[in-house]
Amino acid sequence: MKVLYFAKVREAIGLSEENIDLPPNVKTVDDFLNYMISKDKKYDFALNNKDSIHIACDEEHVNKDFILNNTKEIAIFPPVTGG
Amino acid sequence: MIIVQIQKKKFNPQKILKNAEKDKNYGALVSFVGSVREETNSGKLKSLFIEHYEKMAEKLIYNTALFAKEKWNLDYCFIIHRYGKLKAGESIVMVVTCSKHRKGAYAANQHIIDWLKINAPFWKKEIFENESKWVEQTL
Repeated sequence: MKVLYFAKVREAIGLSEENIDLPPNVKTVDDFLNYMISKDKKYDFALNNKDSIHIACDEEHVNKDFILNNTKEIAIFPPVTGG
Repeated sequence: MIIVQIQKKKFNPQKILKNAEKDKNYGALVSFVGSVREETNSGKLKSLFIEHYEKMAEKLIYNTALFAKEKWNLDYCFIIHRYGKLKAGESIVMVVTCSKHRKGAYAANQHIIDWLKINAPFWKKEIFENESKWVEQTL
């Protein structure tokens, strides 16, 4: 799956995007975040405050219980500050 | 008509307004322009960096304009938002809404800019002389 990072999250992880093969037990956005947090210290640091992490799947805002069926692109970012 | 522009280069609000005013079929025009403030809570700003998620921003902003057009029966809806490095005083965003009557144009304009603030995937970073920091969301 293609994973995109933006703003503070991108800086903490040190990448703007990467491809990640998810294990079969990762079904929801929350599972995905837990998996990422367990990968490495930098992901833990960037993502462990889940309340301040927002997710978009295939360019749509989603909640943490969203099921990742057929999702091709997942974006992780802090609350937006445009306008 | 709906026009959505997301761009790095500066824009001129007066020019955009002039273009919008060409169509005289509407009875009301409301415009909002958001700009970079030099004085912030953290001191004097050197520049503002805006990062965005291009594909998502284009899609969401267009869908919001479409929603507003249908809900308030707009004749014209123009939304422009910049990204990249901006200096103090430069315009960040502009929303122009036109309809037969003022109520629709006002309500649609406010809805769009309020919606942009909490949903559009843009992130601002304030650059000062000796430090920089990401702006926190304020609703």
